[in-house]
Amino acid sequence: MIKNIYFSFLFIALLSFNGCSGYKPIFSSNNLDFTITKYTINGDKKLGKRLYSKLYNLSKSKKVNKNRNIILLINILSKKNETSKDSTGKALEYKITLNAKIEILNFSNENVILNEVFVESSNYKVQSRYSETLKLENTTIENLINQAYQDLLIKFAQNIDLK
Amino acid sequence: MIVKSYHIEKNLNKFLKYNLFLLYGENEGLKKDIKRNLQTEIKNKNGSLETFSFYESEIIANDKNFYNSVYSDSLFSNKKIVIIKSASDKIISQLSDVVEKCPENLFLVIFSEILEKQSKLRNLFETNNKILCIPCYLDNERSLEGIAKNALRKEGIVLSQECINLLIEQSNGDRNNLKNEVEKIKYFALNNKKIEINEIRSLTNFSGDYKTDSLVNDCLCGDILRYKKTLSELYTNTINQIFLLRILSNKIQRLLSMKEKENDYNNLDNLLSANKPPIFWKERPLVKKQLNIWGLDDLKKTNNEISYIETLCKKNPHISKIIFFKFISSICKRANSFS
Repeated sequence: MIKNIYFSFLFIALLSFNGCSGYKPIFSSNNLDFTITKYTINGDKKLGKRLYSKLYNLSKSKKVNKNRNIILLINILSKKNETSKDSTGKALEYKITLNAKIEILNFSNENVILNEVFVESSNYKVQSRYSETLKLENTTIENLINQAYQDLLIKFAQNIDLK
Repeated sequence: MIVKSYHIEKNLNKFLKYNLFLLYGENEGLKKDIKRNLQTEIKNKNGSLETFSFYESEIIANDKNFYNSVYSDSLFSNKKIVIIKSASDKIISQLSDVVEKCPENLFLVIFSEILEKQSKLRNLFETNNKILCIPCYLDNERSLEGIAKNALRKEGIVLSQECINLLIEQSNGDRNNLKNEVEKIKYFALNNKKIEINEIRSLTNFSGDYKTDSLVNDCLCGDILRYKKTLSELYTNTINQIFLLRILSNKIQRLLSMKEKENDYNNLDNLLSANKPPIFWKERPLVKKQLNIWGLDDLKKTNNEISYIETLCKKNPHISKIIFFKFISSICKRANSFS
């Protein structure tokens, strides 16, 4: 009698284990595991390096086995325009536009994982001292690079999720 | 019996025939003020007063001590006040006993955090007509302005309306925080009676913390300025984005179900009143605004997006904060464009 109950329990347990096959816990997955195997930077090399270093740091931050090797192509350009001037023609405000074309390819089969253009822009006012204006300009560019980086990561995660 | 806090503040003498007071809610400053006024009034009336303080944990650990303080007579004064801090349903049996016997020489003041409607402690005080239940909600801007102006006038400090508004903003709806900020200004103003807004800005800081749902409410209302302000005050490293996404999802689902029933009612007020579970009165204007802003299709679309974003956050835990904040900011911008 006890043996029968034992076997029936074992059977139900086996069935339930089998029912779970194919599923994996969502929290343990790590979609953004990648290694940058090869990279090319075009356009503004300084800005491209800054964006690349952010991605490189992210790829280095995890200590798990990386099974996704990627090729990274960055083409980044920045443009500065005057948006307002005073009566003497002196610029009062500038607009900086960052145009980053990012292409991520799978290293093994050269399939395109991501091919997007990220356009970010921001305005900043001219300060009384030139050094302060320059500082503000650098902060604005840094913010724009951060924004482009964040958008890139989200798109990258979404595209990996779809594939 | 439920009594509004402003009735107590206006005419405390009228309520001194009651012996037991339950003060619950988030406004610590208001609770302290009521307790202080109660102590002064009783002292003025009876000449002397003995005060005992207990924490809930102390009563649970040794209720004999508590009963001794409550039921024994004092040789030094004919009235005594017993204060219980951080009370909850755990000491309901001890409090029921005191309520039943209700000693005449005793004033019992119970401090509690926010108590739910189902709370036994709250029910005990609300249903019994011999004892008082006083909800202490956050102060509104008008009452805070009055408190700030009075406090500043007492010290002879002149502040512009802009400065007073800033102080009110920083106080997070609690007069206790406001008084702390005024205290700082008082010491700063020892040499300088006229203070500028920049000095106030550097002197004061935001008190307390934002409620978890205030960010979500600002976002759904499309109030970009308030949203940015709340975001800047939040310590983003401690935010649980999945929890916030669940709050957002619940709020959107509530708006969805209300939008579907909108045609059955003459106006939004009737719809809000008929909603089940009932909407808290403080949240009503926000829900009304959100109902005006959002359309049915937009709500459905956003609801679907939330599920997708939640999965994306869980699949990419190391960039989940970036995903969450980008998403919630996009909803705020969308709501702003609708309004």
